[in-house]
Amino acid sequence: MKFSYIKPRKKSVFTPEFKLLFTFFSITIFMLVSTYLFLLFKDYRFDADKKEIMQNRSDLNISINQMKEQIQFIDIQTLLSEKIYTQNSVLKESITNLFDLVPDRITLSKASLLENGLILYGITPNKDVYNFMLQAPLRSIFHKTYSSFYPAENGWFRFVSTNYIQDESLNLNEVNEEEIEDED
Amino acid sequence: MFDKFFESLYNKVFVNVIVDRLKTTVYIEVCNKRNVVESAEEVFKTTFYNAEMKAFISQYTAETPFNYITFLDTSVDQGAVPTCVKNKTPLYRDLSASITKCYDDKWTFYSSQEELYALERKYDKLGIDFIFSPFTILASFFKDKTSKALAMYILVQDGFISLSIFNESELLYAEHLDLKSSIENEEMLIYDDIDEDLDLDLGEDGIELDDISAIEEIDSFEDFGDIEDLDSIEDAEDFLESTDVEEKLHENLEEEELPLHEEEGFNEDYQRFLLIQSSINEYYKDLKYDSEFIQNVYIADGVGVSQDLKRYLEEEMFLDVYVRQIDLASSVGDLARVELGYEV
Amino acid sequence: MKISISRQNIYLLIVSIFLLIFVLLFSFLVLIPEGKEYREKRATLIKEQRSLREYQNFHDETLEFLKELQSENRAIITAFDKSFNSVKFEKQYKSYFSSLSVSKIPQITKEDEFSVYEVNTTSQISSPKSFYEFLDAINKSDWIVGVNFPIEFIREGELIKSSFSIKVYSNAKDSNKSL
Repeated sequence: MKFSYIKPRKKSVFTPEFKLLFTFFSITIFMLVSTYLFLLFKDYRFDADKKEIMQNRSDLNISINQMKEQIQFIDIQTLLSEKIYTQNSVLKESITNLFDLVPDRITLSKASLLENGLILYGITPNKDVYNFMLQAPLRSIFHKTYSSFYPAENGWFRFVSTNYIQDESLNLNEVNEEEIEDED
Repeated sequence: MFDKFFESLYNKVFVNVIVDRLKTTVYIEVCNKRNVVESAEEVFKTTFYNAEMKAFISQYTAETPFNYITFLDTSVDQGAVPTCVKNKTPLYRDLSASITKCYDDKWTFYSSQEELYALERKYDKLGIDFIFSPFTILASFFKDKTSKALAMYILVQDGFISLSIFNESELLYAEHLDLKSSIENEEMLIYDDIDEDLDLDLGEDGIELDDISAIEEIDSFEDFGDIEDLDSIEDAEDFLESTDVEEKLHENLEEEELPLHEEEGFNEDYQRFLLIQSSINEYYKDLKYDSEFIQNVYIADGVGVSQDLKRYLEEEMFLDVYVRQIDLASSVGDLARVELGYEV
Repeated sequence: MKISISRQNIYLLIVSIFLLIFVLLFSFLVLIPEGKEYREKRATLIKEQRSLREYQNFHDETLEFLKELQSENRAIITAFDKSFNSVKFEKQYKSYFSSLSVSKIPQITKEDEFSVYEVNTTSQISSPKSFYEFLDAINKSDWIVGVNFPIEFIREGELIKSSFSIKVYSNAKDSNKSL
């Protein structure tokens, strides 16, 4: 200072009232702004989470579909295998029944099992035995039966029995049923 | 950065306080960027900071945080020494317990540290921004004259006299005189005589005698007035070189009549004269100071001295006295504004 | 009566009003919409999470079911997966016959999603009984094997020459059924 013994006191525009006001407002504004930022952040997170969930869901979807397919396939496989196994069992049954059908006195030389028919070649002592013991049951099973005889050297007859079932699918189950009935 | 902007939003308020012996003058100036916008003055019959003063000041200081409270130094132990060089000041006075400031690199003005602190403490509730020495007021008031030839410059306040001698801007001698101490300490024969006279007469016609003496004084004054004119004319003829014609004209132009004496005024002016006289004698006697014969005296009258003082000085000491009226409060205000960079 | 407010207080008032307006505007124009958005999004998210959990549960159940199914039908699944080898087959079922020969190059056809290998076999058995046993055993085979017509039995002295065709079912090679 040029003339004064003492320096002047510090002059501030910010009176205590101002300072109080500013402090109060800055705290308020700070809280508002931080709340706002928090909300923004949360919204962003929500979006991200939602996206993630959508992604997860679609992944799960894919996975579920895949599993469904697999289950379906297994089902098909089981069905098929069941069918095959049954087929085999039935076949065994029918062959068993067939050979049981043949009486002791008749001897088979060849048997051809076809899908829709059966051809038997054999020797029979006489026609009657053949007719009663073999032909009759065969007739009851098959739709069409033909028999032809060829005399053999020792007085026995060779025969060829051709039997067909009309149905496309060989229903050898009928043979089983007949047998059961016969036995009963 | 924003400070400049904030400053421009507000006006500056200068509260200038002059503390006298029995009263306090508060002069307030409201300034915008360049000049004074408003001013107000009020005198309070107290020498302390009271409620009325507070109310008056608060009116203006509430408007802006940029308010500056300025005081004129009321210390008894203050003055000025003719040098600014720190080693040389002890020659004149021991300034170890004082606060000093250098004026224009030419002379130092000082004031008692303790008294300054006391002043600050006294006005603690108000707060003080500037404290000015009366010598700086004196120097700036007589700016135009101090640069010229050797002369004495005196600032007369209510309770103090600040006396200084300048020659071409160099301070040769300065003293701050306290009226109170002189009344207490000095034994003045004339004073005693007057007292005795009054005492003798009071017994019978106290009032009448007073009246008579008053009338006598008035008569004598008129005579003196005439003689004074003769003197001035004589002076003009004999001492053309040393008289200040300008100042004389200025004085004559001033309408304000110097007041006629009052009982107290008479005494006080005489006290003043005695103080000045003793101070000058000291100046002449003391070898420390470059003493040259003083011819011209310029008085800055801040209190309203009577013609007596001028007469005493002229008659007793053969000095040419020029009296200028000074509005002390306003001068202090000017100085305050200079401190803050205003053009005065 | 004129009420004078000091300049300081006017400035204070102005600043307060400004700040108040700012706070109000900010709250209403920015904060509250954002808050609403927050609430909405949170509700949606909770819903989504619930839905996901349901999906997850269903997925887990399905997986359980699949695993069970797989473990139950492990034999069949592996049998379908196994590629047919005539030599191996011959070796395995030789025991049931007096002699067994399987045609080396199978015929491959496609049936639904499966490839079917068809081979003809000629064998000799001493009695039909062994053929029955063979048929029993075939169901427990490493492959899915079905015996098909035409089947022929021709008596050759003590032995019966039998010939039949077998069909082996296997997963089609180009399909992507990972188990």
